[in-house]
Amino acid sequence: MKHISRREFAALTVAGTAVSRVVSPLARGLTSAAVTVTAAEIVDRIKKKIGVDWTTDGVDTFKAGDPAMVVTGVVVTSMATLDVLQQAVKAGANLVITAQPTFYSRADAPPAGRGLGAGAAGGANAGRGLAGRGAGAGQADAPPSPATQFGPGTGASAAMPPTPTLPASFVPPAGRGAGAAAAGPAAPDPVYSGKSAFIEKNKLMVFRLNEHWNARKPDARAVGLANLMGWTKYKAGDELHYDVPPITLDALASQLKKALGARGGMRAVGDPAIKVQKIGLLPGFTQIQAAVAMLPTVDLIIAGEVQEWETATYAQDVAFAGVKKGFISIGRVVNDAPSMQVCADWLKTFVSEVPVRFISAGDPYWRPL
Amino acid sequence: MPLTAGEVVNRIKAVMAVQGVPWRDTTTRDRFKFGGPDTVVTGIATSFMGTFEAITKASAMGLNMLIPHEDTYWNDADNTTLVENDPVYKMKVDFMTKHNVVIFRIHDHMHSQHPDFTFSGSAREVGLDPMTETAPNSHRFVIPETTLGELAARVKKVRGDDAIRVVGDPNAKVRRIAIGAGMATPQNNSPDIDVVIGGEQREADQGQDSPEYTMDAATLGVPKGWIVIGHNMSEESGMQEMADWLRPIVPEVKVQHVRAGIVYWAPK
Repeated sequence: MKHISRREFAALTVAGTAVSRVVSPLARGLTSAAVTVTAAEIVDRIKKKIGVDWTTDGVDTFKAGDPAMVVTGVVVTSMATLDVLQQAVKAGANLVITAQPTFYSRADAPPAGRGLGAGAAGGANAGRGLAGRGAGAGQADAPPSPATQFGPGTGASAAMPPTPTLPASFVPPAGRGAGAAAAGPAAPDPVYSGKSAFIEKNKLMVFRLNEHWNARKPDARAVGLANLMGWTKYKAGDELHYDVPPITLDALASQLKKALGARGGMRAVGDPAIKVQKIGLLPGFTQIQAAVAMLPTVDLIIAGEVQEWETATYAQDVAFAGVKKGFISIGRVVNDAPSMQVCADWLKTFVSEVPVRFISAGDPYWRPL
Repeated sequence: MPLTAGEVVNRIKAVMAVQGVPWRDTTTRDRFKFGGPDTVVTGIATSFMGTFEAITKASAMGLNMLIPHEDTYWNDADNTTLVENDPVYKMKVDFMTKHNVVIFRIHDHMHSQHPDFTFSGSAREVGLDPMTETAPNSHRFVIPETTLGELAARVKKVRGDDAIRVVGDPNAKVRRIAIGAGMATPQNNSPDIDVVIGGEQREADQGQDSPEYTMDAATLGVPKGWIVIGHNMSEESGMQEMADWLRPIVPEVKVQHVRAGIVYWAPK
């Protein structure tokens, strides 16, 4: 029912003139309203085709825009940075499908101090920015994290010297939708507001497709990387394993960097001169269990993102022990680029009304000279 | 009477308490990770982490007690059941057994000290004098205006290693710096921070994703920078200060800082 009503609404809006100015010349060139499609319809098709039970996890949702709007073009990206959004607008697209957040957090909302952090999914940054403010917690500005939990409430803090008064700068900005901060209204965050204004001005719709896409088998983050490297023919078992012609770790890392268009984000562990042949992929963010299970069975792990003081130091210890193995971290956003290229190709198989194109967010990092 | 590891730990606890950091037994971090209180101590090494490299170097110097800031078994909880079937875990344990190594981690209590050595160490690692903080424990620094590119190049030169990652417009004018240590790296969306120089943060999907924020700031012309030098690099230097702190309380043995080793190199 919902599906039908959205389609009807779309037809109405196209028939009327109310939104005609946001329909690009490309869409206007189409011969009839019968071939238009709304963002909600595209997302409904994704849900039907993805082959993974759709959960209401709050992550894979619209982050901006009215899903009932007619789509002029689709851009699929690793991360909906402002630069990608600008490129989308130039290309005449108004629906952006992104693997990573738009508004700088899993919640896709600005941090509102303690209120957001404490109960937020993941909770890794609970109370960030306001932690310890007047509460006598040991570390005023060190956010609790897996590595750094200072244990306020253990009784220790009561005996400690009073926490120095925090500079005003520790009050996070009260951006869009943020609750009033304890210290009163703060100036709007120029980055949040600048991006929001661009989205609103250009009537963009942004949909995040991450958890369901990553749950698909085979894992597109691995398939896409293998495609880029020309490794599909070397597949050894599942999409995570490849048996490639022997090559030095150093040379392979450089090839990988070039293929991915990486700048400074890629980092490697292990003797650069060792020859590697059996490659294992650990897409996205993984923890030590995955690396310990994989590294003894391969010569090299190529991972998206890991925690340095866990998986990376494991690889460091393995190399120090003289075991001829390597480890490469390419970065999570860089890993999502080939994955979303696969996603764009997949979307084209069931979205024929408008152009679908992939635009990479690139490698966020560069390396100083 | 020979000095035991248990006696060393008792003195650490006692001095911490006098300095306003009473010992909390609730922490799973600050405990023995190998060996135990009865192990006789021949010398003490502090290090960022109980890496195989740190253990081996310390042992070669005759220092059989290692006091690392981070874990030994590649996970924060030092849960050995996660790694016990790994061949390198077995090599590491065999080495420690053979060389009578004892490991006691010092993390949570170190972060409760004033100053927190990991932050002052982190500042030193990137060429900032901890004495020039804007306020005690603010971890803030103000430098003469420069560009993000020049600042990052300076940090890299001081650090001397390659795998430094930077986000932001290299031409952005910056002067107000916030320092992070390890995962305790602050976000950079505060209006009075231009640049964060920190250890490690998840790249995306957190409470505040600084890489994307900084990329968008660059697109909008808002001067912001994000320099990540690595968890190891940001906290290692603080373990030198921890060695200096320990030395007077264990005068019987040599106390020395041993680096845990470079983690990453940068592909060309």
